[in-house]
Amino acid sequence: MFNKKNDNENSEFSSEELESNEVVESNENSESNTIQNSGASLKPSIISEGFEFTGDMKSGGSITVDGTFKGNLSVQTLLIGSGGYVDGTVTADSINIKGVLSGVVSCRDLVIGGRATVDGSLTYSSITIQRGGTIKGDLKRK
Amino acid sequence: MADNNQNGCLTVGEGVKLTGNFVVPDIASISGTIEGEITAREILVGSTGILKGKVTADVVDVRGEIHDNLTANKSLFIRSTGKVIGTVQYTEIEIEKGGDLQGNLLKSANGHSAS
Repeated sequence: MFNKKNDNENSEFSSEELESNEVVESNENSESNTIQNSGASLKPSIISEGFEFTGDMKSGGSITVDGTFKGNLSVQTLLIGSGGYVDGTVTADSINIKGVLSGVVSCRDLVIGGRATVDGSLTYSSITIQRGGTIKGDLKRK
Repeated sequence: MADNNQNGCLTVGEGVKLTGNFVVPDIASISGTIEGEITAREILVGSTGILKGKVTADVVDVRGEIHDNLTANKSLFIRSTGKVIGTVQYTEIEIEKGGDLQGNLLKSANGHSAS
């Protein structure tokens, strides 16, 4: 009766090149733990499995987290892999979660996968939760 | 929308407005407006349906609107036209793109395993 819907959106690489130059500005020496993507073609940054990062990150491109990230994150596209864990303040255009996300989240497009866990305060324009996904906390629509 | 066997079912057509407390043993299919408290095994809210108050069911399928308080003991489906605002307690949830969910979310501790 209820069809399971699996429209995983792989649109992470669509609009990066247009907006890369204005997002990456002159923040290079402002924060000690800042990783940035620059240049015309933004490749995704990856926090791999087993890697734990604490601090702030900014990127006009996409970041894939398969390891652990704690801190403030400001990106165009965030993908949290099934083993990934993100804790902190996240601002992004689109977020796709297969792992665990907790904290304060603000984004336009939020996709929560079937095995994902999201906990905290969320602000979004559009939300999709696949069956089985867990979400706790306060939700607000922009 | 309800099954052929209408025993224990409640169907509220579009334009119908009801106020009060309702206990429905089986399926409540709502295309009108209900204000108050409704308990059912399964609640289907059509695209024109609006529920306001305390809503409790095993399975809730929303194409319309639910306000205030919603408890889905098994599954909660919010379709692309669906809108749920208020305190929501669920065991399993699915939201289609375009669906609207605002408020406080709680996941029930007594987790039924997904079928």
